[in-house]
Amino acid sequence: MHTKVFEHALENTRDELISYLLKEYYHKVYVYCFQILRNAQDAEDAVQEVFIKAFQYKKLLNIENYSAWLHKIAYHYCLNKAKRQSLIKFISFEGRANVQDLDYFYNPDIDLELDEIMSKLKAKERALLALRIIEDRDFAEVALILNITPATARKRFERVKVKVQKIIERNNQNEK
Amino acid sequence: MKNNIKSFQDFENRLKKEVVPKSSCDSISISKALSRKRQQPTVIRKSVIIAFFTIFITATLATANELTGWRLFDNEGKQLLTVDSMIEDEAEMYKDIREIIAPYETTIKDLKTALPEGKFFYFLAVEAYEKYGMTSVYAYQNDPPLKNINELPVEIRERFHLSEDLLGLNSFSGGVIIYKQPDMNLEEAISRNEAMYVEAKKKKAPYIIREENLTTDIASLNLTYNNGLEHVQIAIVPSTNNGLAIMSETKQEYTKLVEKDIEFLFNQKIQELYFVKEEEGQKYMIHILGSKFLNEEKIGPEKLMTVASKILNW
Repeated sequence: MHTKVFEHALENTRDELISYLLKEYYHKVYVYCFQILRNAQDAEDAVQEVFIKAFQYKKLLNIENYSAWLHKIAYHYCLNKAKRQSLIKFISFEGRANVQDLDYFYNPDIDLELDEIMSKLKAKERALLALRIIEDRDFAEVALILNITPATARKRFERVKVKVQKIIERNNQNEK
Repeated sequence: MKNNIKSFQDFENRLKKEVVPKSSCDSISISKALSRKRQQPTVIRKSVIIAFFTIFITATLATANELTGWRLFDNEGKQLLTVDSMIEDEAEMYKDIREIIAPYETTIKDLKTALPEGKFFYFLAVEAYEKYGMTSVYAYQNDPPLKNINELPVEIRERFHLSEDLLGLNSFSGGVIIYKQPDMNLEEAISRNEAMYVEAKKKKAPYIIREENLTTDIASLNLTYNNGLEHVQIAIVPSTNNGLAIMSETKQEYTKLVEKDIEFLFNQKIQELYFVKEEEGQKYMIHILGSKFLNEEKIGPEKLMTVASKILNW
């Protein structure tokens, strides 16, 4: 991961910084948005909105931690999107793979079991898991992005763990 | 689906290894959008493109309020349909786009009338595009009308129990099968719009159109029944549509109803009913719109529910 020093070593021109941020964080933010929204198309929309919002910020050159800042924008954007979608989607999480994207459905790499568990979590909880598990961030970083204290981040993570464990147990019981 | 995840540890491992669907566009799209200073950030909002492909629902301006929406479930508790409101600034944007396009309504109507069968056209108003980008590029089509219910394929008629008369009260008076526009790749859509915009600027034209071919897939089926005084409209949308845009300032007017474990969304004021019919694993969103006389104050959902019952074959 690049450091602040590297970022500050840039020529501090806006265009160069934009190119650097896109190259460095576009995919990471896309994956993060995907984990929250669990939908590739929504994640694409989200990542684009996030970067456009970010680049419109007049004090872009003064941001201290671009990674956390971009993730923070993405978090709020995705949560809002999850809450107030402007589309009727009569494709629930359960049915999504059947109808929304055939490529997705037929892709043998897609982990439907995992997808089902994730769909039972709240967007906030998925965001937390993405930061902690996929991005391997410590609780201080997670807290910074989610705008909570590290202790709260840790507590929330533990609660999500328990919730996931219950979902798994329920799924396994249903299987029997 | 086989359950191999037995513990949180399994879940964690699988989450780490999960293959995230590849993004169909990349950071270059943003660079392009940003390099064009005249254009606003909404240019590449893919969901909006899809939203405009669903043309049978009229968009109305939404106001932000406290309601978060509804979810319709089937008799097994599985979620079928989510209805949410549009955020206020988006609604404002659509309102503005409609105002910019309003002076060209007659032109659009004439263009639609002249469209050959199987074609549709994109309409780009330069002013709207400069302000809102891709969001403002609308697609119009003019599907041939159905004059007789028997023109509908028998499979469709049987699936939805459609016949010449509706419950002996109304008879079929017309309909239309709306065909799907081709799915588009975001990059292609961006470059197509750019080309249209450049051409319009070159010609110093306030708008420009581009004609393309429709697919043979059905986007929605709209039918009207009437008895000379009242009418009932039925719209059937196969769930293979990627989604439907609905924007409503009248969200609080909707009530959720449950009948035989199926959930319905009813609007008393404008007499409309939404529900989802599932058959052979396929989901269809059904929208029934009734008529109301000016002197009628309160009409319950009974009339529309009778129509829904027929479609559901209850």
